[in-house]
Formats: sequence, C-alpha cells, structure tokens
Amino acid sequence: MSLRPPIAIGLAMLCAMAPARSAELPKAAPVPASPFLPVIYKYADTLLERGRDTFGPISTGFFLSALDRTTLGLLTNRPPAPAGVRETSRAGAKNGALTCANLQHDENLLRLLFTLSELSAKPKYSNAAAAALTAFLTRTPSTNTHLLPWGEHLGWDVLRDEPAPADGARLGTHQFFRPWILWERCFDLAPAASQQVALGLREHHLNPRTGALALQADFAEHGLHDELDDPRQAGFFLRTWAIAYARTGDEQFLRACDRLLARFEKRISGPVQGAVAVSSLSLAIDCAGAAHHVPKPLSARLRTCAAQADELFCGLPHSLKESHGFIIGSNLVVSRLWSAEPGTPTTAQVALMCLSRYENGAKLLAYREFIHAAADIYRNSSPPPELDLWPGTLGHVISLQLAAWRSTARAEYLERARELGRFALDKFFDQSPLPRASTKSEHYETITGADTLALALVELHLQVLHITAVRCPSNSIDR
Amino acid sequence: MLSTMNLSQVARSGALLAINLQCLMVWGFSGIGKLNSGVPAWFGDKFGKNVLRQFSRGSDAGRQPHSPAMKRPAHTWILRRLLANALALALAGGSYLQLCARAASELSSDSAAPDLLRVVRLYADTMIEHGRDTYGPQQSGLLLSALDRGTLQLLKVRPAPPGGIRRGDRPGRAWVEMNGANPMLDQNLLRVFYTLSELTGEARYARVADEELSWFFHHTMSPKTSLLPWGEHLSWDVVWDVPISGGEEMMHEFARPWVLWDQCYRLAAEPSVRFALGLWEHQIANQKTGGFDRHAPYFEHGPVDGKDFARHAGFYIGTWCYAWRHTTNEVFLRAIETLLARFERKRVQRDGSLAATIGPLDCELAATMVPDPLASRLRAFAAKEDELILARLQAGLSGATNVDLPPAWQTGYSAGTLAGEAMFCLARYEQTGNPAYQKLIVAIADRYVDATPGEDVDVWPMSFGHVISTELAAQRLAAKPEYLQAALRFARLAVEWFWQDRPLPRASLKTGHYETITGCDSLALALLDVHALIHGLTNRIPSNTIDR
Repeated sequence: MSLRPPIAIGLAMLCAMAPARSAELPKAAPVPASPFLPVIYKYADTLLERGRDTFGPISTGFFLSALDRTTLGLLTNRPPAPAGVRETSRAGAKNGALTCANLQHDENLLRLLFTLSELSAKPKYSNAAAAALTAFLTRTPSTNTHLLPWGEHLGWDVLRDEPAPADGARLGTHQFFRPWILWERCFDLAPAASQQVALGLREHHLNPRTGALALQADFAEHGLHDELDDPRQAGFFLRTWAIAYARTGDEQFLRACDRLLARFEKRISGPVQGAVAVSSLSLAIDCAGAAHHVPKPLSARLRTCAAQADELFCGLPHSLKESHGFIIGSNLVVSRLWSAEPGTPTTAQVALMCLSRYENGAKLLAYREFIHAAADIYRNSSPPPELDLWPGTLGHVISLQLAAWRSTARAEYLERARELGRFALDKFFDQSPLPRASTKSEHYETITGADTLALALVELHLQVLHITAVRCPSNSIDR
Repeated sequence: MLSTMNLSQVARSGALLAINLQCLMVWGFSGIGKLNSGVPAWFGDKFGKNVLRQFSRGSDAGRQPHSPAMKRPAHTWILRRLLANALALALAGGSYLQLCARAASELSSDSAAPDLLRVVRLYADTMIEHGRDTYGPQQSGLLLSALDRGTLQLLKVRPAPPGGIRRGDRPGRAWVEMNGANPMLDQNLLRVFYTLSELTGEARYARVADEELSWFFHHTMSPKTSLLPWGEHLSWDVVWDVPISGGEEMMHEFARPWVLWDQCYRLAAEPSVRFALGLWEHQIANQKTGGFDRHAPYFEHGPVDGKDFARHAGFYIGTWCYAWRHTTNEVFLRAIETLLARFERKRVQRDGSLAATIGPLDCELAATMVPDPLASRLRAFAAKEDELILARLQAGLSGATNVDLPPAWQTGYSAGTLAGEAMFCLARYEQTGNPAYQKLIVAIADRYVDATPGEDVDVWPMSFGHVISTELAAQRLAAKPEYLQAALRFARLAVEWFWQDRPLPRASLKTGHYETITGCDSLALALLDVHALIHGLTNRIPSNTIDR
C-alpha cells in the first residue's frame, strides 16, 4: 500500500492551513442571497390593501388581527385555535367570528411597518401604522375608565365598531398582553389621549388603599380583579407611567411609579421560584427602560430593582446544556424549546429577555453565556414535524441565532438563522402573502406571533446584507 | 520588523512546527500499519536519500525496521509527535490564557474603580502579542483593525456590523473574512501607544507605533497616485498583503484628520511628502477651482469634481501645511490657497447668507505653519467659521427648536453625538481660548452628568470616550467635583460594558468582536486621560478631538 495519498492529503491540509501567499486576490465574493424582505413587503402590502378595517359604520384603519389567507378578507367564522392558544384571548368576541383588531397582538406589526418605511423610504407603511395608532387612542378608550380595548381579553370588533370581550365578560377585561413599547410614538401622535390612557391605568389598575396592582381590571367601569402584584405586569405599568411622566411632567405618574415600585423592592430579593424569577426578569427590562424617563432618586431605585432581578434570575441553577431550558417554574420546571403557550415562555423567549438585559447594561455576564448556550441548543434542534409550531416561536429562535452571531462572530449562528428563515418562508408564508397562525392552521391570526416572525426576518435580512442605516427594533417584547 | 515580539517564543514555536512538519511529511495521516511498514521507495527520490539521516545518531543511522534513520520505533515517534503537538498548542494557548486571566483579574466587575492604566495596557499588550500582522509573505507588524475577541486571532468572517457602520467602510473585503489594517482607524490607538511609553517608561509601545507608521508609509503607497490604502474605505489586507477596499471600488477618502504627521516625517519623510503631493495631484480634480470629490481612485489617476465635502478640505489643508513646513515646496501653499479660496466662495449661500464649511480647526493649524499673507487669511477664515458654528451650537443648547442637536449616544455614518460636538469645542478652545467654547463644553458636560445610554441603543465605545473626555474637560475648566465623578462613572461603565472579561474592547454594545472603526481607540485615550487626572500626572495626554 502506497503512502502517497496520506502524504498528499497532509500536504494539502498544510497548504490549506497556511495563509495564502499570493498578491492576487481571489475573486470578489458574491452578495449573499436574502429572499426574506420581498416576502415581508408582500405581507405588509397585503395588509395595507386588504387587512385594514373598512367594515361597519366606521372605517378605522385598524389592522385586522385575523384574516382568511385564501380570500385575504375578513374571517366569517372562528377557525380552530392554534395549539396552546386560549379561546378567551383570540381576536373575536366569545364564540364569535374572529373579526377584531387587537393592537397589542399587532404591536410588532406596527414596529415592522415603521421599519419598512425607513428601509424603503416609502411613507405608506408608517403612515398606516400611525393612522391606526391615532385612531385607536382617540376613538376606542372606555369613556369611564379610559382603558383601551386591547390586550389579553379585549379587541375592537371592526364590524360592530365596539369593544369585543374575548372572554365574554360583561364589562370587558383589561389586561396587558405584552409590554407596550410604542408609548413614545403614541405621545407623539395623540398626546392628550395617551395621557388619559396612562391615567386610566393608574386609576383603574392600582388599589388606592393598598397600592397593589391588579392583573386585570374591568374595562367599562372601575373594578379591580386579581390583585396579584405580578412583577411582569408591574413592569408594563412602570414603563407606561415613566414615559407618561417624561412626556407630560405630571407628578401623578411619578407617584404611581414610586408606589408600585416600592411593593416590588421588598419582594424581589431572597430565594424565589422559577416563575417569579422569569417574571422578575421581564420586570428588570421594564425597570431599566423606565429609568431613562424619570429623575433621580426614582431612576436609581428602578435600576437597583433591575439589578436585583438580574441576580435573582441568574442565581437560579439553570443548566441549559443538560436540560435545554431555563428554569421557569416551581420544582425546577424548565422552558420548552418549540412548544409555545401563553404564560409559558420558550427557551428562546427567555434567552431574548436575557439578551435585552445583556444589551442594556446588565452587570452579569451570565446573560451572555445563557444567550450562547440557548443559541447552541437551537442550532442542533429542529421543531418536531408533528408540533403545531407558532410563527412567533420561530421568530424568537431566528433572533436568538442573530444575537449569538453578533456576540460571537461565529458564522454558524448566522447560517442557522438563514436556514430557519428559509424554513419559515416555506412553512408559514406558503400559498398566501399572509403567514399561517401556526403550521397546522390555515388562517392568519397574529396572536401566535406572525408579526414577531416578520420582524425577525427583517432583522435577518439586515444582518445577511450588513445593512445598518436602518436599525431593526429589538425582538424582545414577547414576554 | 517584529522586534518587539518575544524571540524565544518565536524560536520555540518554529522548532516545534518544524518537527511537526517533518513528521507529517514522512508519515502523513497514516495508520499504525503504514507507520510500521517503513519509508516508501519513492521517498528518497522525492526528498533526497539523506534527508532522514539528519535525525539519526551514530551507528543507528539507517536502521530498520521502523524507519531508515530513526533508532526508536514508530510508536515512540508518534508519542513524541503527540507531545510536540500538545506543547505547541499549549504555547499558542498559553499567552491567550494568560491574557484572559489578566483580563479577568483586572476587569473584575466587583472592582469599584478599575485601574484604568492597567486596562489600557492590557489592551495594548494584547494587540502587540496577538493583534499584529504576522500573516502572509510580508509580516508587516501592522495592527489589525479588527479581531476575534474570543480567540484573539484573525476573524474568520466579516462579523455583524455595529449599528450605523456602513458595509463599505470596514477593514476587509466585502462579504469575506475581515483582515484589514487601517492606520487611520487606529490613529488614536497609535497615540495611545506613544502615550503609554511616556506613562510607563517602556519604549516598546512607541516602537510598535513607529514600526506601523514606517512600514505603512514605505510599503503600501500606490505607485501611480501616491495615495495610501487607509481611511474611509481602504485598508491593507494582512493575509494577502495587498491594498483592499471594504466596498466595491478602491477609493481613497480620509476617515478623520491625520494628526501624526510629525511622527510620519520623522520616520518616513520622503513618502510623507509624496503622499501630500499625491493628494494635490490625484485627489483634487481641478487645481484652478479646487474642485474635488472626497473619493479618488487609489490605483490610477482619476479624480472628479463632485462631492467636495468641506471637512475633507480641512484634512487636506492639514496635510499640506506639514508638507510645506518640511519641504517649503510652494506647491503646497498653492494647494492650501486654492482650497481656501474655494470655500471662501462656497461659504456664501444662494440667498446671500453664510454657512460654515471647512470649520476652523485645520485652518488655524495651517496658519501656524505657513507664511503670511496666507496665514492671516486662514486665521480670518477660521474666525468667521467660529461665528457661524457658535451661533448654531449656542442656539441648540439653549433650546431653539429650529436647530437640531445631535443625539446623546447613538452614532452612525456621518452622525456623531453631542459629546462629539463638545470635542470640537475643546479642540477649538485649545487653539484659541475662546470662552464661548468653554461655556459650550461645560453646558454639554452638564447634560451628560446623570445620563445613561438610551434603551436598545447600540452604543459605540467612541461615544463613551467622548463623553468621558467632555466631563474631564469640564472638570479642568470649571473645577466642579461632579464632572470628575461623572467621568469616573462613565469610565467604570465603559470598562464593564466594552471590555467585559476580555483583554480587548468590543466594537459596540450589540456586537462581540473587536473593531476600531467604532472608536475603541478613542475610548482608550479617554481612559488614559482619566488616569492622568486622578493620579495628578503631568504627562500630556493627547486631546481626544480627532473624531470629526
């Protein structure tokens, strides 16, 4: 047997390892392919043309939160809910057709539209988003509470032009679905109405006697439910009031922040269970965000609270390599990779919360390691074919891979994001410009994060082509 | 060239590499059976009959069966080879681990106040050890303008860009691994190196900077245009040893003013003059009107009269004044006068109003070197620029709604921060002592005293550097303790956020690699200034005012 092949291979490898030694540069590398943006423009264009409220007595211009993917029109029925979606949270009155607009379900869609206008220099996208926001803030608040018909259990029925309680509650149930990151835009577009909403939140969600925060409140009249002091929900309120203070100078908002924060300052130290820690992580993001808008000493207290929440979350014995998830519940229950449901974040969702803290100055480098570890898990994991996958989940994983790519400069993360992006086009944007509500659904419904996936695909496009003139909003609000 | 490298380390690595290569050439990637079968018949024809005898000793030479020239059996050689490999890996990894350990101890986030000199030295030492060009046929010793912070090695990709950084401005070819050296992007790092030598008494830092400037000016200049592969779009590829562009065209454009001309004339006088001439002949399209475009082809003559961004005229004037001082060649005076005249005209708007153009800094600098009447004309021009600029800044800071002030933290292409404006004010104040600039510096410092970067902003290290330098300038001008406290707070944050637990700073808050385009060199300079102030040092720390 000759030794020539091994030697040749060895020398070839040596040559490959050695730096190139030629003054002749190799041919210029081709521009990488990015098929994602045209699909997103088509999605946005379709919504602008077919997915806005032109129904009923008043054409509000709100974006429908559910549509028929085939006719691109209003749904006349109530399609089966994607796996994990609660009927009481869908974009329709209880047991009714899905004919509602819920701006909190569409929050990332609005952010997407503002971004697309920057990318394309076409104002039609941001104009549509701004019009929807303005109309929503000025036309839909409860006259009694000034709360908005949005969130976890409310929507705006575009046929009847009235609030629609998804849970069937007579007075409607107001509860945040996710943090509202668009307050600054709201104050730009409709300052007085935005101030009223912020005041309504203070008057109708806070117990004036105890200062406890009600998770839910009646929409149509004053009425507090579930005074649970949930850290996650508290963060949404703190963010709202901090921005309201910054934009109005109204000290009522400072006092509301102070009062609510005081309740959590006491609770956020010491041993806690996973669920509280994840909820506190979300609170940390909002505390840090709110701190930018209020003066000392409140800003310092908010930052301290965020830092305590960081310690609390990072102090849990997360072992991603072994368990493939973060501890998110009692008895060391860990997050799941692909299976989503309300109130139970996936590993990618938690990792994106870590990312938000990491990129906003959290002291703990543990966050960086969590992000990398979570990205590694998804690099080697694909959604089970039998799973009813949500688009939002895929969007989170794509954004997570991109975060790891930015942090490590390792190409495998970007490549994985591209793979998942192509998978997303294939599985969700097939046969229609509107994405499916889930891999097993035929209709469009944003509660499962079609907007989040779209945002992730824009982020992917910008990363693939190294575009920085437009900055993609952070994909970390699904918490 | 690499005189500052550890020679014994190079020798050891070389010896180990040689052993490994020999083993690999003889045995290839073969199994034990092949190893035991001895050397093939063709080996002597290919490498010479006696090549392996060099490894033999005395009467053992040529002994079989394991090898013709080795007295030990094959497994001993395999073992030795494995040991050699392990040792080579240990040597390569040793210094990396040492630096990481140093980073961990010196950048500990528990530390209330990190030793800023040590932080900057760690950065400089790491660059000297891992961040110089030891690649390709020409091991130039140039400092890499981007590195993998995790491995402290060349980047294997073109990493994600920091927010606001354009594709074509980065130190590497488009879409492939980013391996460029761009001294203009590293200018403040070179100034840091010179300063470190003064602060520490160790000449090696200044030597590295000298070597970079000397090699770059002597080896990379375009033979036809005498322009250099640096600035906004060009760099030197350290692997391929050729000038490259971050975009599609080889366009010369200044990225910021070049303030190291004194060093360049000391180290490479003749190339420095050639560059200055090249700038006049190949960047300026119309030598009568001074028409130019900030872009000019590097390889061939081909300037056009297009987008003559005014600030670039300042950079050219700042180049030619040194050339005049060193040569007294009248062509440089003519060049300065031509551009000055151009912008004296362009300052007048169509409606008769006046607008600032070149800015006062480079004109004032040139006025200190060139003779009258040009010097006086330059000074008068600078004074008028002052009027126009001051009016805008004063209005903006007093809340005028028709003046847009820059953002506090977010930076991007051609878009600096408010602290960047303070750096301009500082530079001008240092030139003239104009109290109006002093007031502006203090007013801007006040705005940052309690500030933190906004949510989700991809902050650059340069922004932090400018904020720190603004607070230090205010401290020196107004002597209030809050400015120094603010500078210290920002310095501590900057170390925590950009260095983290690594010896090199990262390019921005949302990226993880090292890349000087976002101004980690400016941040390092600011940290040295903090160190000097809190330790009462009398050493002159260069002003952090060249990012404009």
